[in-house]
Amino acid sequence: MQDWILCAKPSNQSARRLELSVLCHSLSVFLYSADFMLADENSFIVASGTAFGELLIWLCRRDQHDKTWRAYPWREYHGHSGSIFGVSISPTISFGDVDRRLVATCSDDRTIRIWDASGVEEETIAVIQRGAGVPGDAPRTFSHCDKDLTMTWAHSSRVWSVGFATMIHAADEDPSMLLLSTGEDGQAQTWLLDVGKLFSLDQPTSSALTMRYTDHHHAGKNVWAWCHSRNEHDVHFITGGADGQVVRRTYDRNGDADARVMRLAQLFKAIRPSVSDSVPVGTVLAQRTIMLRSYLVAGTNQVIATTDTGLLLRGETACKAASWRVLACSADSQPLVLSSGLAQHHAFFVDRSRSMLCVINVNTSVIRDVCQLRRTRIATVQMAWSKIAPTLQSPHFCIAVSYFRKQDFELIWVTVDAQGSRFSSTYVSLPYTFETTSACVDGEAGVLLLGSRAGAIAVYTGINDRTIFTSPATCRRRTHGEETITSITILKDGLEHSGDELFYLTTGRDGTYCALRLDLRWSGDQNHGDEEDEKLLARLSVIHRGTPPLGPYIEGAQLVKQFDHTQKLLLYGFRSKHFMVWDETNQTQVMAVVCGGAHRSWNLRLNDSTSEEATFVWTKAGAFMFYSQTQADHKILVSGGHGREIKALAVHRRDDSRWLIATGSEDTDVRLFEYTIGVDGIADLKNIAVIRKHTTGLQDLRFSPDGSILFSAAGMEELFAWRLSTVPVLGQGVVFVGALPRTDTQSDARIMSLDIQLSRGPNTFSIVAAFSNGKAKTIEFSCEDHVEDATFTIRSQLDLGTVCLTQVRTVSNPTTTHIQAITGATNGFVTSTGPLQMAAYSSELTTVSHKVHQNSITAMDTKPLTSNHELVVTGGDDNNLALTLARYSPEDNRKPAFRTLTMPNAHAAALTALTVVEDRCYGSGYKGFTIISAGNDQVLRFWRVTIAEGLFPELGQSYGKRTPETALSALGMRERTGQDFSEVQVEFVKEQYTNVADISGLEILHRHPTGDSQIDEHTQSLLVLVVGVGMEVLDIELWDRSASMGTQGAANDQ
Amino acid sequence: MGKSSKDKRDAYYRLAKEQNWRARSAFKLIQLDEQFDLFSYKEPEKCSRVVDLCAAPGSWSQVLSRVLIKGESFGRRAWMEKMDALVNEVNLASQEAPEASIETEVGSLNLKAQKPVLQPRTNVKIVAIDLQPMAPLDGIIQLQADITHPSTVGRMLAALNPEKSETEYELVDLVISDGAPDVTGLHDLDIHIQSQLLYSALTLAIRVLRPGGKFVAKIFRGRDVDLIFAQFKLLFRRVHIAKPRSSRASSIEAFVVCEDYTPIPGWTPDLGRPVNIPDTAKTSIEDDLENIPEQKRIVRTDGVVELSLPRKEATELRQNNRWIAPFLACGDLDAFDADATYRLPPGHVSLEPVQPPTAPPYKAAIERKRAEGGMYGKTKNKGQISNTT
Repeated sequence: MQDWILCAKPSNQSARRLELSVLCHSLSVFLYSADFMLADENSFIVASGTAFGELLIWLCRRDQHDKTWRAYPWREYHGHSGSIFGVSISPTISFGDVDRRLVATCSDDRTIRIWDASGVEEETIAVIQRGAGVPGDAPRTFSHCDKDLTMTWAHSSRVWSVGFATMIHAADEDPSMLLLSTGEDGQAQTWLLDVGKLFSLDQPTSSALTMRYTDHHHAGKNVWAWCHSRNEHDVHFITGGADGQVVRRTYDRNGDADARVMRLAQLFKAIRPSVSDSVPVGTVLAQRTIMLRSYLVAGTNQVIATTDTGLLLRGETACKAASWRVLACSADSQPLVLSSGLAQHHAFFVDRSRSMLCVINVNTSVIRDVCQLRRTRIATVQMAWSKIAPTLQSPHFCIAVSYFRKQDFELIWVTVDAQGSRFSSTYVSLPYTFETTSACVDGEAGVLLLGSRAGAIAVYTGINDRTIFTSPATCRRRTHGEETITSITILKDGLEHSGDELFYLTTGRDGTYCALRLDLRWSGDQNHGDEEDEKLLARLSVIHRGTPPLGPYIEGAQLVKQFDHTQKLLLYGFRSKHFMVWDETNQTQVMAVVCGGAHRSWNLRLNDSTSEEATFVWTKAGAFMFYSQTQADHKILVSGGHGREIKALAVHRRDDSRWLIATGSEDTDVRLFEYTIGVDGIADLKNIAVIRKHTTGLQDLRFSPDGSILFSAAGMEELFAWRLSTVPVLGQGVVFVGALPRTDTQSDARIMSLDIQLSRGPNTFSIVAAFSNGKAKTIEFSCEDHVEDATFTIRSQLDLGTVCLTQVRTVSNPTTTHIQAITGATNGFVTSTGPLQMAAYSSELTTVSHKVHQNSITAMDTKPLTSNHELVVTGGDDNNLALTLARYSPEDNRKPAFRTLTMPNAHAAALTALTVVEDRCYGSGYKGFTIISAGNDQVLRFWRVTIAEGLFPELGQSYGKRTPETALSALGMRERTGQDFSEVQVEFVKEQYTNVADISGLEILHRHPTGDSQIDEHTQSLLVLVVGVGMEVLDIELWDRSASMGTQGAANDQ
Repeated sequence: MGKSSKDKRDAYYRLAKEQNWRARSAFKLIQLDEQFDLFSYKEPEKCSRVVDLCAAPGSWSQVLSRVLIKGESFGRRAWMEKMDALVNEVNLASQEAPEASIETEVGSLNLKAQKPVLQPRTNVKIVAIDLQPMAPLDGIIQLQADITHPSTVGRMLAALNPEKSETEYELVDLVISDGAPDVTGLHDLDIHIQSQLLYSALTLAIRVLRPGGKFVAKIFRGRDVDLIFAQFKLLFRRVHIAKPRSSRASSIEAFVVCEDYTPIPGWTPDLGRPVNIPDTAKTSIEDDLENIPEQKRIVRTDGVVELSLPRKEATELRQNNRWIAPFLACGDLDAFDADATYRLPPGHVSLEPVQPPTAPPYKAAIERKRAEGGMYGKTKNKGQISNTT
């Protein structure tokens, strides 16, 4: 057996060749971790942690005479109460007059400890001298030491690694060392070690280690690896997790985001009595309880604010202070109503004392009256749309005004130019009980969308600035449950779409965001109907619903251009005490600031081009707070996949070069990937969606034949259905359409396997689900397009006793139109049950079982042979690969006869995945299949199977007069009698190692131009997707055995 | 998920608590014994000196204690003994009263009242070794020792032969090891550590096993497990890979059962050193590897045809130093299924584990968390704010 290399470092930067040789042996102990560091060219220090919590330090030295390396034990430290998973040796630290060397360790016991290793080099020389020059005579024992210099409690579960990063020299302080630790809790923690405190003679009252930040940027558990880099200004930590993600975290000497928050409480003393004469400044300042009501961030350090005394202020922040200036003031000290958005440097507000809509240019602070509103009691003013006319250079706006009389709603169309402003208004009739909270005008399409406080969306069509009155074309209730819709955004990616389809994005306080498709079509038959009866019909359907890790108060969304000219989606909102900006496209957090919670005045400005630049202002405990960042504190360098091992796989072929791959993992996520082969032949695997709803590890996934519905199965009887579609900008749309109702709330059973068959109608499927409590259920699933509620009807249920069913496949029998289910179970039995559609009770089902494997059936696939023969290929925990023929006799097609051929030791460990493809190239007389099997031995094996027609004479007749014997002899196989089942011949083709451990699924990505799921003589190679601990696509030459097999692209290998 | 969810998920977990086993793994040893007759019931004197390695929390030692010292029977064996006794009784009864039908006699017999006959063995010596302390067990000699440490062999033999001098030490009939590391989740590392543990156990076993003795140990069936099998085959006549029904099929855990130890003359491995089994032993494995020229078909009694393909079909991945041990599933098919979810009987009360975990390394961390205000720490006024995605 090879040993495990715990630590490796280049000793010489110019070395280009890697040679491994054993320098010296030391104690043979269970080491979990090690680090070494060159002391000089003839010696290096080794520190290692054992499974039993000891830290061993020794020195390796090259003998001056015979140039051989020897290890000299130095010290053994005790203190940890669990295995030491990480060790790091510091460089020498000059402190006082002494050079110090430290060792950091971390352990199962959740602590990080620092040990003194100063003088290891010198002391060891003494040991060598004591050995009296006799080579190898050095004492083989360590001197014991039990006291660490300092310790601290770190991660909430096992601490995997700790290490010294770099020295921080502050001006008049003792040197500090920056450390990083990573853990099983998925976190990376940054620590500051006060070296002075470590060696101070006084007993320190607190740990010399203080935590600077805790980062959680990896999915699932386990951050395994990290390194650091530094330049003049910054220190970067790069971490790698079990999710395959690589993240760069920038260490900020000024502290993290929360340390940069400015609290500007004394702002009112700074209000300068200036600007226009009309403002009664004196009276304003006399009132001591001035409060800021609403904000609008106008630039990175510019804020427009209203006060409860009717002032409009402009604030500028610099050097932790703000200076304010009064821009306007209402006549009766009633607060002004500020518009929620800013566009083309213009914002709007309403002076309620005059019912006057005003526009302010935030660059110049010039304020103009636009128009007198016809009604009073104005509630909100929103920027619904804006555009710059290319010829006039004058911006157009559409302002949505709502009133406290709830049914009143108005659009004001405003054009601002050098002379002044022009306007027109549109009265909007609201649906019954509709209280508007968000508005969006799609100027190009002439569509208005309104969101309500109760989650409804109203759609108006044919809108432009000449419209006087409009009433809703449709109203979709409960789109965000019964929660407020906070924003509506137009989704447009610049690509041409059918003019009848428009796409929008909404955010809500139900914690979700939605992509909506609006279908517009004319009613009636255009050839016959009267033109006057024709009506534009609008239908709004949800095509994507996402639940980002913020909320439930999702307050808005913004689309931002990326470097590759695509757009990414930023969502923002509150999570407990934080305000967060989340990059949904790249699944990463852009900003997080502690603001105190959701209920407060706030405003956010995100830069359109550089997404990480953000300014956020808010009120907290009566104080004005300000935060601004130019970049996020971390960046994803390589985006990751699942946080734990993949347990389920489904593949849908979109076309010749694109496959949709769904993977389900123990981390309870389902991820959708798109695997594409470009015209240049370069393959790309891209994660296009993450689906989070399951509460237990995934067990199986299955696409509907057209790829529009995905079924996912997990523990706790969770069977979910998802509708998939393409969404502009977002790419992949996923909508949850329903879950199998749990009949027994006490049951924790896992749904181990699924298979589906098209049933009546295009949106109706028969699903067969196998449960871990020995039950199998046939479920009729139907879901209309555009609806989010699917129906699950249990048609039949069978109980196969106290086993765990692991596999299920449906077999449709064309002679009888019955569907049979073939199941595999942990007891090694293959069972055929049916017919499934007819019976509602188990007693009416016929069940025939057949023992194939000694222990659990861990993989299964089926292929039809004839109208009444099915080939069942199974792999077992017993290492066997078995081929079972199920023959459904025409007389009683419910009771199949089974015959099995098994191959012991097909793999060296449990056979956990297999797939069967039909071959086409052998001509008549027999059928051919290629089987790919994979096991826990991390080997893929390819088998070719030929089945002679002698087994199914009715097929033989149709093929002509060749007998099976002649067919087999044509293959060069020995003729045999039927007793030993020689009609089925197996040939081992080849095998291939894979990097994926614990393989749970395996699928062929066909490259055949016809898209046929068969292998023939034109099939040069197969792309095989393997999933387990990571995923990998292997390109395997099928026919030329001598040719080398290359790994086409290993993705997300852990 | 409630407290009883593990009871539903895992029938053996529930059974272990009900039958007073310290851990569910007791059933694994019982089922291995059913298949391989580890405790040699026909010739009890052939299994009286047993070593249990990595014994804590002690469920395998518990089985040893109850089977060898107390003479109890479990599982299928217990059931068969019960049935035998029943048949005898019925036979006796029918001889006495020939007119009574067997059916009524069976109906009148109370199965539960049937007292199992205890068959304690003589001269039983069991040593349980672990680094961790373990609660005491009847008749088991406990050693807190490191199985990789050279001094352990001597301490163990001395404990097994309390009245004898070093030259008279008697060797051991059976070495068992259910040891496994705390898995880290780093797949290759876990398999490596487990194989190191297995080699340590093997080294110790070679030092103390009598010729013909048995060795049973936990193994992870992962990549290159066939290399390990091949090495075991050099030292034992019969090597099987066994999977008890009580071990989950979804887990890579299995047990290597080695029977008939054949020492290699002049070779004893050092504890704490890598095992290098000499090449001279290779002949025994070569004999066993049937190099069949062409495929072979065997029709089993159940009608299933077993197909063996010629070794020439194998590629470079299967060199001579690899060998796949035959697989044997242990335990009855009607025994509980470790993977199946069971419906708990109405009114089920979830029992506390028999042996709560011995002091885990993170005990202090948990106590500290609790003192700070619950498992999730303080919810208010925390010094640091976690920055989570």
